[in-house]
Amino acid sequence: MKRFSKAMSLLVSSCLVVSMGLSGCGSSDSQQASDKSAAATSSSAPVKEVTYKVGYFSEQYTSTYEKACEGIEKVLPGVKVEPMMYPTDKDYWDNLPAQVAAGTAPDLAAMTNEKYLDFISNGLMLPLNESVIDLSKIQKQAVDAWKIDGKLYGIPLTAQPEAFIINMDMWNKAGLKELPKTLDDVKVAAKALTKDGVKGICIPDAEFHLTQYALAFGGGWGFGKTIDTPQNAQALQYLIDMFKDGVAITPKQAGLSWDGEVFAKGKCAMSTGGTWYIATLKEMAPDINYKMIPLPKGMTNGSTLHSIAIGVLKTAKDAEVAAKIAAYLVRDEVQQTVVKDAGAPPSSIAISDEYFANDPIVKDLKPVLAYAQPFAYPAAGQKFSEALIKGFDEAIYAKDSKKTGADIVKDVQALFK
Amino acid sequence: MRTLSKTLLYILLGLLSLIFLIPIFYALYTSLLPLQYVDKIVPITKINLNNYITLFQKTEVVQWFFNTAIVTVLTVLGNVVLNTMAGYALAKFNFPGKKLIFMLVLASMMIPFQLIITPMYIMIAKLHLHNTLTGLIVPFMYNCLYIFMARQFFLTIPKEIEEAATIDGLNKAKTFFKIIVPLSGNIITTIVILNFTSTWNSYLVPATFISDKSKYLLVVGLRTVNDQFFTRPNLVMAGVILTTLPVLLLFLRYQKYFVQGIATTGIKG
Amino acid sequence: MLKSVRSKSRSKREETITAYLFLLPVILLWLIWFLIPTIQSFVISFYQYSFVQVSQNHFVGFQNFIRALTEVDFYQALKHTLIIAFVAVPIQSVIALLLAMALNLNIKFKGGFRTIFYTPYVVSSIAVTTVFMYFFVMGTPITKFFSLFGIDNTTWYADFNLALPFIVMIYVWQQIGFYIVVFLAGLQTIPAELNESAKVDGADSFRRFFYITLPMLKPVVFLNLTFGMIQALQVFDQVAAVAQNQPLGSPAGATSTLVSYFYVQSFKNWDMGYGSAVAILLFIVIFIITMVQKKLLDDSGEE
Repeated sequence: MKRFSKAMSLLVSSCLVVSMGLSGCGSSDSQQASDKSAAATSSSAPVKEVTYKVGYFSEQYTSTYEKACEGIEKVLPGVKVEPMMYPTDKDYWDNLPAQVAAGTAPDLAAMTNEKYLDFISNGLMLPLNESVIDLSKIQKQAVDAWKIDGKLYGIPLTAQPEAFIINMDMWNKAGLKELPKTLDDVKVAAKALTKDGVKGICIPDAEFHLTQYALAFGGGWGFGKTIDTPQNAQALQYLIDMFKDGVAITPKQAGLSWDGEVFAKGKCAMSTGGTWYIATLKEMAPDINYKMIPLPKGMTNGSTLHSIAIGVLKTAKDAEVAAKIAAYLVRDEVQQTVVKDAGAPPSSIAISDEYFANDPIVKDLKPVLAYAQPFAYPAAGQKFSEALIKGFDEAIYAKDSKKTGADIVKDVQALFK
Repeated sequence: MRTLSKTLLYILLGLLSLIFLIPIFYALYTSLLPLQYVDKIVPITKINLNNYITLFQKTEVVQWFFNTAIVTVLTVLGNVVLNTMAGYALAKFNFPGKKLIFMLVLASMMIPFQLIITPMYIMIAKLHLHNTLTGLIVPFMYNCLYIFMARQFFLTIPKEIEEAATIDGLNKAKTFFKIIVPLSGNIITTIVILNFTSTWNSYLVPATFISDKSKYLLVVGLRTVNDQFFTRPNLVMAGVILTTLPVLLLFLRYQKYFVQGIATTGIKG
Repeated sequence: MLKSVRSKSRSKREETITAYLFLLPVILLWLIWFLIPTIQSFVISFYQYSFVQVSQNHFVGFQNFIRALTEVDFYQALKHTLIIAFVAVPIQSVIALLLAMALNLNIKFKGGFRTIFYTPYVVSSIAVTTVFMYFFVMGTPITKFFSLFGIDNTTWYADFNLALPFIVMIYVWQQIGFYIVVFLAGLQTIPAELNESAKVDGADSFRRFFYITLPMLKPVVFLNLTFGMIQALQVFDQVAAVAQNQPLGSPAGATSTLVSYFYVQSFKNWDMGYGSAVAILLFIVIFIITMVQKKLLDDSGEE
């Protein structure tokens, strides 16, 4: 007891000392900086060093952004760039707006072309001067995805087509031969593959996946203008029917957090996904024999083009400089790191070609790039995805639900008139 | 008859304990497994401490631990001193505005914290306290719940003690620090344990106020082991065990005072 | 005589000064870190307000409140919040009281049991929920066990009807330790002689419970119910954990609570004004329930 309380008091007093140092730091930081710059101006080099920060989430990309920030001073003297990681994607999206309002947000941010319209339409992201980069060397679909009303809002780092993934061990075991060419084939296969606690297909109730099917049926959201269309209704109904038939499962039902895990744990035989599966499967299920193909046709070929890009936030110290930094952050060297460390398809046409040619797992996906489209969610993307998922969940999770695909698109459209 | 009912009681309590222990053992067990064995029962030879080693090697868990310790200890210190003083004033002094202040204490307990977090963050940012541990400590150095509990506790201390002190020539402030505080071990322990637990485990505030990785608190930092497309339940559980251990040890060590402390607080309406 | 009156008023003044000095740090912290942000939020609730487009914010009167009171989703969240509170609090109180009485008997391993029951309370709620989510997946022994009682063998938190009971269950499991300790503390203040003399008078244990234990425990019951309600009406962590990467309240709003609904509006839809109005309505709900409880339980008339 005595020893413990002694230790405790020691801990407390040492913490006090440390914290005094810390709180001291908080106020003296800026002072030190100004001291340093004062010293710098008095010496020969009159350059004042300015630090820009790039926000991102997911540890997977840490090495990429660390690499990206290196050596900026050679291109832009006096500029320093530091990556700023957020603990989870949720913290990233929830905290960024308040941080922009409070002026504490980073200068640049790695964004995806999914819910970026919320940021752009509210003026949180600034349009970029296109002269900072040679756009002809970047995948056209990715550039298009980042151009809103003719203005460029982000410099693409990746250009990702969507994929359909099949567990070939299960496929062969079920006596299935040719890979599916249409979504009707998929439905037939899903029935054959459903057995022994395995479901034929994993259909995540997330807007990303639902969009793939909507596009394959010739639909799409048209930035909120074309939600209530027969094509979209048909796509959702197609998915709902597979749940009713008992051949589909959501990650949640499987007790897992996303479709890649469901696939890796052998709880489904097929799923929509992307190249991010590769790293997961390598670690979680190295023995699975699988194939990645384009999503089979519905009425047409459908796929989204997912693209991470570096954008400039309203909080940037100097928007012109920040745009130049953004261009620097997606240079070839970084794109090669993206391929190597994060396993994502790069946006540079040359490196992308190399990527699809060299990796046998992804080679079938290259043609998808040609027809891949932006997500085209309404500007209030968050509200849209909530409403869409809510409607879809009501149809699949509530027993005896009479909700149809047509009901869902009608309800969601009502919110976006 | 008596022994029979007692045996039944032991069996019942034992079964209930299982319900309370199994999830915790499951977390412990998962924290010792390689990723591909999660959810499976494996022979003891497959079990190892690699997940803990990974946490120590690949993340700044030691730094985060110290950050959490500093924030928690200083927050608790503030709460113990400030809340007992306030609680004592509300219990034992007569002064204009007492009723109003007490009502405000009660009402403050009912405001959902999320309501004020954004205005609070913007203030923190204006004062340049974002990204500092100070910003996680100073605004949370008091808590209306503990003021309420402290007040209830001090109401149970007999008037005679203070009267005796006055006769000995001590003024009101000295009476509190010299006479009352030494008698208040129970309420202090109670505040320490409750406040320690909630500060140590807090997520929303540190995740909002801190964006510099080296200043993360443990719970926030350990979240980064899950990538967007990669969940590692084994590492997550190792993190949970690491986070829980200090709080559990604290409770084990001081639970006796804790129970007594509670016994003397809420009881007197 | 005049002198003593004067010294009395002087000591009175000294008392007031000392009291305010004792309260000063808390009052300052409270003013800065509680009152100012609360007032700001309160004001915001009368505005169409977004932090990101400050130029377009404007006063809308009671419109946000009217919108909440006419929105189906608000009532759904309110319903779930009340269900959680009015199911979880009685259950946790009754079980906690029974367990506390058992632990107050002359038995071995008292401290051990107490620690075991208290342990969940020190673990972060998100972690607790995550662990429970592994257990209640379709096909695990636990869901198979429950299917014996006619409940579907399914993933509980992905089921429209079971998701809310799942949250209540975890919530009770985690919170109960705290209330056991509080009841235990209360039981220890009841003099043993009271029970002994009642025994001599021939009162059976049932009567002793209702005529001695319960009345003596009244203040503790009050504390547990009040505090329990205030906590339960603000459930959030469990809901957030169950939602995983999906919208809060998933599946399809089956677990939405007022706090999660507020969170979605304020931080996901960037509609701070509406969100604040919802939070203020929640405050009013908590306030009313607490006052009613106080009236029902506290007949002494004092605070």
